[in-house]
Amino acid sequence: MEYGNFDKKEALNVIEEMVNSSRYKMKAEAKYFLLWGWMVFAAAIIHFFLVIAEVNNSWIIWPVLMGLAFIIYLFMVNKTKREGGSSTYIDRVNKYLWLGFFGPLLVTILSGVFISWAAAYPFFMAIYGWSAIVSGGLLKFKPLVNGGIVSCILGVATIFVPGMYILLMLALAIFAGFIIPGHALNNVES
Amino acid sequence: MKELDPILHSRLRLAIMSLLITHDEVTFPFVVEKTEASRGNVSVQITNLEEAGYLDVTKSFEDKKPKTTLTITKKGETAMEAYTKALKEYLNL
Repeated sequence: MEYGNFDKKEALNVIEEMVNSSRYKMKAEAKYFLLWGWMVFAAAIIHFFLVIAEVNNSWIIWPVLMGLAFIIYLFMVNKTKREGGSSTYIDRVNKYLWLGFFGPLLVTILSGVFISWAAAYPFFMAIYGWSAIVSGGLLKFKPLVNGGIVSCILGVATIFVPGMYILLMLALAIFAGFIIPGHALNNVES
Repeated sequence: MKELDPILHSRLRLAIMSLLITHDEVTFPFVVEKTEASRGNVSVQITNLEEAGYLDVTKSFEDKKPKTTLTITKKGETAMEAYTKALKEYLNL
């Protein structure tokens, strides 16, 4: 860009160019949805087959895979932070949305441990769905909103699903709410 | 017709302010990258805009490296609003 004298039409072009160059990079969000989506999906499916195989303490797969996902997530956040240099309104709202997500998630996990996992799973799906809907609305990305709605509906349906099949419902919910929209986000132009 | 603000009616200063109006905050390297101007030129124009009260400059350290962060002020927002309004009038938009 040249920086000499310029006329009023050019002034408008400069504003437009800078605003366009600052458009929110939706693609950057995809990696987080895919990381958590595939990890939760894998944990649910592996847990399901471990239950069928009557393996003791099959639930261990959850802390193992979620712990691994969290470490990878921290690396990703740190890398993004280093490469960053700007923060938009959407960045800030998105950041607090996902920070706030951990509150209800923790309550649901503790409810599962101390009350009943059968009652906790539908809430997981509702929380995932709710976060996807809000995030999709912020990014103006319809597949994420739709995926979140499907996840919430599956959460309601799960109340009536017996025993270990709840795990398959959870896998389905995360596939609809995070994985499909995550891949779609990865393919968007800007 | 209202005169265009001479502080903003400069390509680089306007580019910097346009970045700030769309962000909560930006770092100095980010501005250099987006405007494709030299570091020295960007630095001078940031000082001019700071002296006009259009932006705030915060210097800090991150990972033991100095970090310069810019944020737009209320006065800067008002000036940009007035500038774009006047520009539209001039261009009959």
